[in-house]
Amino acid sequence: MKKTAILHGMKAILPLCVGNIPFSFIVGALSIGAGMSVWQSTAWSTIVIAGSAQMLALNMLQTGASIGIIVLTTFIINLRHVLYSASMADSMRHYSFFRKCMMSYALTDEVYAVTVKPMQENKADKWCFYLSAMLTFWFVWVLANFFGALLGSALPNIEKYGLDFAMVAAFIAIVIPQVKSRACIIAAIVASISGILLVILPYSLGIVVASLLGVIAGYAVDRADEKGASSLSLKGETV
Amino acid sequence: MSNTFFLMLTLGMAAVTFLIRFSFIGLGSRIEMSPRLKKTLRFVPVTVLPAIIAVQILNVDASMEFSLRNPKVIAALICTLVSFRFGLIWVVISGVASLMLLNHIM
Repeated sequence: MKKTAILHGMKAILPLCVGNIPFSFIVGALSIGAGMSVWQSTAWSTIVIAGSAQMLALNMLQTGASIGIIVLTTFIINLRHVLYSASMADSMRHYSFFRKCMMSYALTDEVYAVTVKPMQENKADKWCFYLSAMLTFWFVWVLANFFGALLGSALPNIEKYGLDFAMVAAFIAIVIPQVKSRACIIAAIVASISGILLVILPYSLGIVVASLLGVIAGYAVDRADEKGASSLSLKGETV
Repeated sequence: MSNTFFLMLTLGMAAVTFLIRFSFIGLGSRIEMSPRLKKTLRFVPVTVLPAIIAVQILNVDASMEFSLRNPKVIAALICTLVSFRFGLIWVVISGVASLMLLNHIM
């Protein structure tokens, strides 16, 4: 029974692992340019396991940001995982403290996407299923990062080939599918313009402040939309 | 990178990431997040990433100088178009390839 759950977990996450290989590979390759050794890069990916945040951090390292600002930016970009944590809380409630720590450690976008439904079902081996999906993802992520780091150290001047643009391209590929509603588009535009104007802020704080301004703009659009919708429905009732 | 700097960076990033992921799972289902907060949190990734992209492709620095006649802007537009239809690997390949080409001809 346990064996089936483990295999099931691996099978469920495998397509997402494959899809993530280029991203992880790029993180590995660029981390060398940002001053890491191959083993540092591999350890970093193993311990941090947060792709977008790692890519942002590499970017910030090159502009000379301090550790404090990088950690703050990591916090902001990973805030979305609070949503995953909240949605998983109920289905993980009966596990021990230690198991909860383990299960949350690598709760990435991909692991969440694959396990959220099965975890809500009442199956006996779902702990094995979850752990196998998470560890498979983790392993592939680190492995691809390692090979990327090897390439990065073989090609020391990776920026010269325009490969640092791979990071920007990867960000575009991640963000475009998420910008669906009007509110999201406005939030993104406000954040971009603020980001450009706020490069004058010290300590690379510009991105953090730009993000906050974008979130506030999105929130304002949400509020306006809700007001519009409720006054519309009121009119509908009176007519 | 020195090992001390590396350790501090890694542990710092890992700690905040873990705390966020553990937050509600650790608390159990005792605390509910307000729907308003849930809805607003969806803006976080769509604001951080575009801001980074904009600053990167315009090569803005603290003196606020940038040029729109910049091959990165065009390459980013190509990436955006490709991302409507194709996955990450194709976006990256087309972006890097078009930037190399543009650098060559511009």
